[in-house]
Amino acid sequence: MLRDVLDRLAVLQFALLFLPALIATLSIYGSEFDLTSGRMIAGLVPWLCVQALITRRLARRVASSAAAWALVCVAAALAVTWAYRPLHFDWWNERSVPHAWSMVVIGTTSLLLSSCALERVRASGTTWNRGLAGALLLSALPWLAAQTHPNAVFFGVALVAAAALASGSVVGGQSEVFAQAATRGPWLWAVALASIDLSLPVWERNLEGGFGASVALALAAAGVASLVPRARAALVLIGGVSFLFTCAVPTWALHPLHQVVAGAMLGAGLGGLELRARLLPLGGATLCIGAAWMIAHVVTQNLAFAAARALLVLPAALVCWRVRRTARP
Amino acid sequence: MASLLRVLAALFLISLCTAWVVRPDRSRVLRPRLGVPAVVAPGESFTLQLESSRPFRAPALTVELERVGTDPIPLALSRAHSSGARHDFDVQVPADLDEGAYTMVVRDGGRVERMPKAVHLRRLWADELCLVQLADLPEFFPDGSGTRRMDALVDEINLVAPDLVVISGDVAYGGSMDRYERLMAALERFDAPVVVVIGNHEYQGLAGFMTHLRVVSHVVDAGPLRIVSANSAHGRDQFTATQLGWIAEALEGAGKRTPIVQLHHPLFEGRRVGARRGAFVELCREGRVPIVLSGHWHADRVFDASGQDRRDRSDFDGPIFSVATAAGAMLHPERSSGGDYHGYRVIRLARERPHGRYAVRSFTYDLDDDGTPDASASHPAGKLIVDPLWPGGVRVTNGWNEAVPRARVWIDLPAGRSGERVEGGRVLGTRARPAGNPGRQVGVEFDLAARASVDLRVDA
Repeated sequence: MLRDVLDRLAVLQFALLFLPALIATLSIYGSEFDLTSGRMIAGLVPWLCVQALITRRLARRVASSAAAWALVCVAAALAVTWAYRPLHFDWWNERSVPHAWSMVVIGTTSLLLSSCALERVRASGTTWNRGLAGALLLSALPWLAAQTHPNAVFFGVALVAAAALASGSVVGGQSEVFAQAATRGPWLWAVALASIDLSLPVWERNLEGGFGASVALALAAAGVASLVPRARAALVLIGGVSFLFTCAVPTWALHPLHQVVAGAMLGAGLGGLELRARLLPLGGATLCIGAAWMIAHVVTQNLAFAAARALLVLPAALVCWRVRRTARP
Repeated sequence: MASLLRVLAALFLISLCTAWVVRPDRSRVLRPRLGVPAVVAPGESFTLQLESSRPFRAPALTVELERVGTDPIPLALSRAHSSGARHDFDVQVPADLDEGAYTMVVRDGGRVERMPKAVHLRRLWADELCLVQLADLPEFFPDGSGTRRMDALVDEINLVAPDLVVISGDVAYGGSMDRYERLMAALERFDAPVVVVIGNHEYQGLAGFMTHLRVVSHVVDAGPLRIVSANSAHGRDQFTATQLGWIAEALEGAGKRTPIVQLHHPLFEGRRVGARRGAFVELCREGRVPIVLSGHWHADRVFDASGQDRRDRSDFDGPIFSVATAAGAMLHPERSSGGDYHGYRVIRLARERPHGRYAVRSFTYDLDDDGTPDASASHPAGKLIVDPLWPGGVRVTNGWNEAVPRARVWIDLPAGRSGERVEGGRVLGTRARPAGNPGRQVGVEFDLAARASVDLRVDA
């Protein structure tokens, strides 16, 4: 059971910890392009995209080589230790090249870890939902700590890497792929919409770490919701209504109940996706989540046009229509 | 190999926990500091707010006040409130301290943080107060041109002797660290307490702002005034619901103080605050805010609470929404209803009876020189000039068409002069010259008539 949880946590940590924290932090602090450190941190996003393109082949190689993986983990340990050495809650303010290197190394390791763990999960073929629930609940903890120390989320990534290494979640995976037909579009979109809703308190509270508790609450709700397979459709529907309600009442995004509903939609969406076959790190769902997250920031928040959120629901309708059409005999 | 990996993993975990719990034992002061000062009377206390790297554990601090030429003064402090990594301390100021600006020195173990002009002590506040508002400062280019222009601005604003200086954003374009260092050196030269709010250009490199000024939205209580500095530059220039709630709380908590609000962005027309501005205007109206100070347009404009552009008069009822021209950045005369010049607002407030709150008496300048202040013009910069008269004197020239009551200047004392008497003005006292310079200065207060020059000579 613990192994299942760690496996799934290792898969999800990139999507639920590193990527949201990076995007949120960049959107809050901006980036200084006149400095090497600023360029490095801003350049991390395209680098991760490039890495995603080569990550599966790289992941298989690393996963099959214990020595390579050990090297990566030692590098991550050094990076995190260095990053936290001066003042672990605020290295964005210090703008030093070593800290920028730390971010690059942690991000690279996080994505690699996610890919390696996915290879293993695919090969193991174990029951997903209970492991998923545990992983979602555990991923809430770094966000809870982010309330006092916003960079604790990155620390959480490092802890997951260490735990995955110790449990063997990332080594010895096979290269078999459980390719399945992509007929789960609505659930994929539910994950994306839930991610947008989860991001709102982060944006709202700006430089305050108070968003950490909101995200943690949502992830905890997601963990519970992923255990209730029969209510998935209802949870996604309620989450969708909550998503649209925020168009009319933007402050709803700050209500704890909103986070519970959004988290439940996330859990239901992830549970429905059966991640072992569908979720690729920074490909497929994760890419969708990241892109939708950015759209949410730019369109609905930065342009102060909350009603634009409704447009994000349209692709879900298209996916539903397509799925129904495909399902016809 | 598997056991080796587990050993490595154990080492990894240990190093992480060590890094998290043990090594980064640091704290840093959020406020008071230059830009977010504590303004209190001797004998009162102020709140020192800091973040520590270890949550739930307040560091053991010592706090001192320093002033050039005097011994450090230790202050008594008690822990008032803690929330996670943030800790508030009540710091008691001795009743026998002299008025003026002090450097606050905070020692946390072996670490020392010095905050020049973080604490201002003042006993009495007159029935008439003067605020100077700047926005969109000169760019601090490496060639030093911005620094020279800013120094000239500081000199003339010190001459006006305001009770407070408020700076409404866009303080360091581009935000690189060296620009912030030049900015802080310039701000340190102001005699009055300086309150700074963040502008949109600070988001180009927020780290510089966070390193030197650290607080993006804040409330500074200064005697009978409460300066509410709101961050309007979040995202694409707007308020969030969280910010609006914070502003409402800040205005409600003003009590008997008169709240003055500053934010970088104007509230009306184009390039303004994007979201929740209606609710913000209503809050200002309900909170009886006499004036809301903005910049951003690099142009003069004035609006009433309905959003009407008041080019006709500036003495209307309700909150005044004032937009000041740029203090030193590029001008946008096409947006201005005043003119094409750099400047700042000199806002004169008067206490009203019986409630004791302050109202705006004047905040515009007679730019067209027709005998009445214009509806929206800021006071043009570069019109107040101080020339040295050797030895021990200065000539002060007022190029404005309005008088400057109770102007103030500090004159370097030549060797052998006591500074007990100054021809042309009232002696306020003497002080050591700013850090790094030997000798002393004498402060002189005098009334400066419109379009006039005054010669002030020490011990003449």
